[in-house]
Amino acid sequence: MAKPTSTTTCSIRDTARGANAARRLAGLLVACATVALGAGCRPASVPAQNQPVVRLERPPRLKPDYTDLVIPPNIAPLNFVIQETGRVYRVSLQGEGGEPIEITTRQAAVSLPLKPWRQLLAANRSGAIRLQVRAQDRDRRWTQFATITNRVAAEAVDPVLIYRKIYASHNTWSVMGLYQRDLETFAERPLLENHRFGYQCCHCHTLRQNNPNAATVIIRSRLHDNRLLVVSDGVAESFRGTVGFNAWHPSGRLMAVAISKPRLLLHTARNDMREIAELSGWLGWLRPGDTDIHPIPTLVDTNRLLAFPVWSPDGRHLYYCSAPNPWTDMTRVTAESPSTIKYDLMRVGYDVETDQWGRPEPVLLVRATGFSVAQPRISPDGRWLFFCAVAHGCWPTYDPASDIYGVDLHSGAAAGNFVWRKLELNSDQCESWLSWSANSRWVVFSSKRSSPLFNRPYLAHVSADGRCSKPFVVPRADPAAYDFELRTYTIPTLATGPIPVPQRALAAAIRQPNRPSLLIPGEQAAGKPTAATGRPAKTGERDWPTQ
Amino acid sequence: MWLCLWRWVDVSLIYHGGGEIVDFPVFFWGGSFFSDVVSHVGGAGRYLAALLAQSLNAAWLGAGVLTAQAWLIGTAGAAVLRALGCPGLMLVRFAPALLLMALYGRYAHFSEAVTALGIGLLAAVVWLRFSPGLRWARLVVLVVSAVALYCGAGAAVVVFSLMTALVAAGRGDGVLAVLFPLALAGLVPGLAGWLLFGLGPGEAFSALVPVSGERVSLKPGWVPLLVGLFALLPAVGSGAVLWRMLSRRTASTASTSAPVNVVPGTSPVATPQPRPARLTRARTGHGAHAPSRRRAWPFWRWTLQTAGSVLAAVGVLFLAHDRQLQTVLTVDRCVYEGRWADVPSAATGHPPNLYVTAALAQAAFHNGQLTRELPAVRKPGDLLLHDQTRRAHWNKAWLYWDLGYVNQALHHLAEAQEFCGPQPALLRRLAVIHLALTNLPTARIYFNALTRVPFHSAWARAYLARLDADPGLSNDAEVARLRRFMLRRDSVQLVWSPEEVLTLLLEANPQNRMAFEYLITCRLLAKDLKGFARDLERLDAFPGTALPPLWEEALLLAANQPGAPPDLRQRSVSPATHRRLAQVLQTIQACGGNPETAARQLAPTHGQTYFYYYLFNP
Repeated sequence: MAKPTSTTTCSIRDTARGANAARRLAGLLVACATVALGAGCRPASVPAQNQPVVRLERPPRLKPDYTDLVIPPNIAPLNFVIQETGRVYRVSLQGEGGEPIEITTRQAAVSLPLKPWRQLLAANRSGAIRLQVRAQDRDRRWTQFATITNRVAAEAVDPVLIYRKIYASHNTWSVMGLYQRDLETFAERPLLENHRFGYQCCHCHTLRQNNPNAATVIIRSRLHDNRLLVVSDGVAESFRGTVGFNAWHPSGRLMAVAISKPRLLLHTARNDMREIAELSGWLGWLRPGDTDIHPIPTLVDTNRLLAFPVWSPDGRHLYYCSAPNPWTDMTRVTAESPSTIKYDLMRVGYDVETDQWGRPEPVLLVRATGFSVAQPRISPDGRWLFFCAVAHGCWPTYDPASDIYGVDLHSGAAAGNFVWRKLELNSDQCESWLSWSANSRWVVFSSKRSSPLFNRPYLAHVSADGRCSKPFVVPRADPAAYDFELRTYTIPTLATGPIPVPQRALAAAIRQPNRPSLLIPGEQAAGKPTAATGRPAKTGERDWPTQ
Repeated sequence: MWLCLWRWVDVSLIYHGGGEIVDFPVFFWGGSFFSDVVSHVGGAGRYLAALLAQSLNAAWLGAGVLTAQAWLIGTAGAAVLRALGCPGLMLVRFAPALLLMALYGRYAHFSEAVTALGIGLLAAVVWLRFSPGLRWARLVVLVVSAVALYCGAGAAVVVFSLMTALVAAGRGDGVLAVLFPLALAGLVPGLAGWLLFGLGPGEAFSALVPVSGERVSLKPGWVPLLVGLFALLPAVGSGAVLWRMLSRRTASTASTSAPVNVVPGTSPVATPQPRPARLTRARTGHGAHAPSRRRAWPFWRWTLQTAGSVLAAVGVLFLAHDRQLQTVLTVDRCVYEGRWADVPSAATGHPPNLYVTAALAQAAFHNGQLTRELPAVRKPGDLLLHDQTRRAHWNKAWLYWDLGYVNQALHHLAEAQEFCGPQPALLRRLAVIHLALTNLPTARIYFNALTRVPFHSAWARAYLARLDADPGLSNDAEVARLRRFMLRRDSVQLVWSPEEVLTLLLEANPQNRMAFEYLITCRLLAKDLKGFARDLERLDAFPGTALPPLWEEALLLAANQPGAPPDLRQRSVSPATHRRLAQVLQTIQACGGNPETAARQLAPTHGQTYFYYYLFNP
């Protein structure tokens, strides 16, 4: 990778007006030293005014594809690899304001300097930056590609991205971890690596409205019992018990939890052979500091599978996914049964002051949409609800056909009819695990568009009318890093800051013995308060047989 | 040691792993792997250990590296012992090498632990040679060394601290000089772990355990060897120091009671005692043996030492060598590399092992023997390794790969990767399987990752180049084979019997010969003659294939079953098979219908026939 000051860079030219003379001198010295030391690394010839340049109408091929984007004004440099033949490349970035960045390199991988990049973005906030690439071939002829223009949004993205990195696992897992990435730089810090608690599973981290100081992480552990890890006001504590996806009420006074029983199914010929079916699923709630999980009284129905609770930002509705439960009679289950499960999008009212739950209301029904709804996410301003639409089930992350759709909740509530539409950010591969920025102008999501197996985090701008810009992969210092990264990025979640609890405290909370158990209805009666298996077991119920 | 590890143990089997060795370190060139590893306590040592471990890809090179590590530990240990002034214990320096031999003979590989031990001892030797003279400078260097060792190599700080403390005690440097390194070993992990790595006290100190950074599976037999490896030198050193201290005390007691020369008019003066041997001699590298004696018998001494060490090495390896595991690993490597002709010889005298048996059946198919002889499996399910243990994923991956059941192979590869780590053998197969699935971007990621693995880079680059030239990779034989056999009809897989799996493969491609022979073999093993007769119809997909004797025998039995389909009788069965059946029936009649007697009589002549299996095998 070529960095402007690295030995592989042959010259750095900052031709802007008023450029710092000392920096130029230093650059010159570095270049001279490089020439003196580096075998075969000679200073690149810069196209002179009278030197013929072949101009192509097409833009250069870049990897990652950082063309025609809307980018946050606080994003880290969009480093890229030029996928054009050349012995020397000359890259120029400039906007209406600020000093341009010019780099000449023999390497196809281009690393943009952080400070000038920041200055350029700041100077062109709400404007545009233009990227021009020229390549010199072996005959020292220059080719200039069409200019790439990326717009810089006015709204910043949340500075921290939290995600889990894990191998593309099936039934078993080994090394994994939750990481916090500073989106303004390339710094990545482990939040919770599973070697800290015996290589057990940590997943499904959730924040209350992007607040890093109100977070939950689910732990699956044979060593320390399954737990719900709660971070609140700088303190981490864990509760023994098996809960699934959860959602904090915006007031922080209660949390909705899904109690589910997911099972991995294997496809015989599908490209991504994994599929997860929920064998049971019901929704409950608990108050912080309490261990009793109460069923939501108006949602007690064993004939339905409920999943993915999410609160509206005003806290007056809990949205969730709901499907008929085909597992009530296991004797009638066939290999086709999982493909018959389709989830509606529903909501239930809640009054936090009186602690009263309303009746379930349909938002999007399968009979109208034809698809199954999963992972609904509501923008913090309460206007947009984005969700994954899949052919069946509620685990889009393994479904190549999973796409992200959107609903305008304001207009839908006013008209009494929620209208959905497929968003512009989709690809022909799986999109899933969406998360909103605190200002409702950015979304991050996992996408397999660059590889049908490995999720990568993508950012996209959402305009005031709900239109999404072209997504781009979260930049890395080494622009080719995703090309050999064997771990997949799941549940990317934007946060307004890093989670303030150190990893040792999180790990200690997980390892801490004698923690209270979550009291899950049905399990108390079975005498198994900690080994949660979902809703109360029914007579004759058995597991879905999987290999 | 080098020869033994290379030729006898064949340490490249450790690298291969075979699903048995789940803790072999992976290594990738490049900054991201480096920063990932080094950002943890002991990361630098772990990185070095992982890099050195890659040498095991080639047995001769790996044996050389392991021998060099053992030599380093032995030499450094000897230097420390010399510094302690116990030249009589010099033979102890060979003990770590013998312990390492015992570990490698059991195909255990504690790369990080051994590297940490080596680094700790090396640091102790450097300290002994180059420690500054000023006391404050010594303290500073000690602190810096301890912090660096803890951060870089975890357990090395314990070794270093113990050795420096022992040497200080041996020199008689005073209590402070002894306690200070020990105190460092107690304080540095907590402080450095907390300040530099954000570790809690428990985590910080757990990094001192030699295997803390590795996902090791400690087998009971390995623990004493590992403990011995780490504890031997400190224990011997402590013993030596205690002995010296006791002898010194005895000497001083003796001196106080010795007669005093009293010269009239002068004060009484004790007889001067010779100073005990100090580090000065050790520092110059000289032993304490009488030089004249050493010079007198240099050749014999060298010969005896060499012969002794060779004998000791051979003896240790003879006792510790796990031949059964060697067989399992060798067979698995033959299967992985497709060296089918070598499998039977590699499995000679194999223990009753499910994986070896299944591999023999697989090799029998490739060697054309599966139709001639029933494999020695316990039950038909063993052919497809219908075993729910985690360990089975590794072998299932190769088996389903061979059968062309791409998704199942992919599943088992993914599972094996979880508990063995991203081992190159798995990554290579994953890359090619994704090629077969026309999952080119994913395949490229695996190939790109492999370009960063020592010894696999060239293979991956060659594939990438071919992929660039021909994205469909239509002329790759293996990819074409997998694509030809892979399932096309998608469904969610429930628990299937081996016969169902094989039928599914044959429905996808009736010319999948391996699936066909396996299916027929399953039917024969299960004595399912109806199923055999039904599936034998699939033989038409292989025109020109004659019925092997084993199948003829089964066909004869099936045709004589009540309700057998009439077309069975149209298949020709050789007169010899008819004669064999007649002989078997005559023998049974002659034995008066007693099956045990008949079985005994028929075993020598008809033991390999299907008649015998069908009638007498329980």
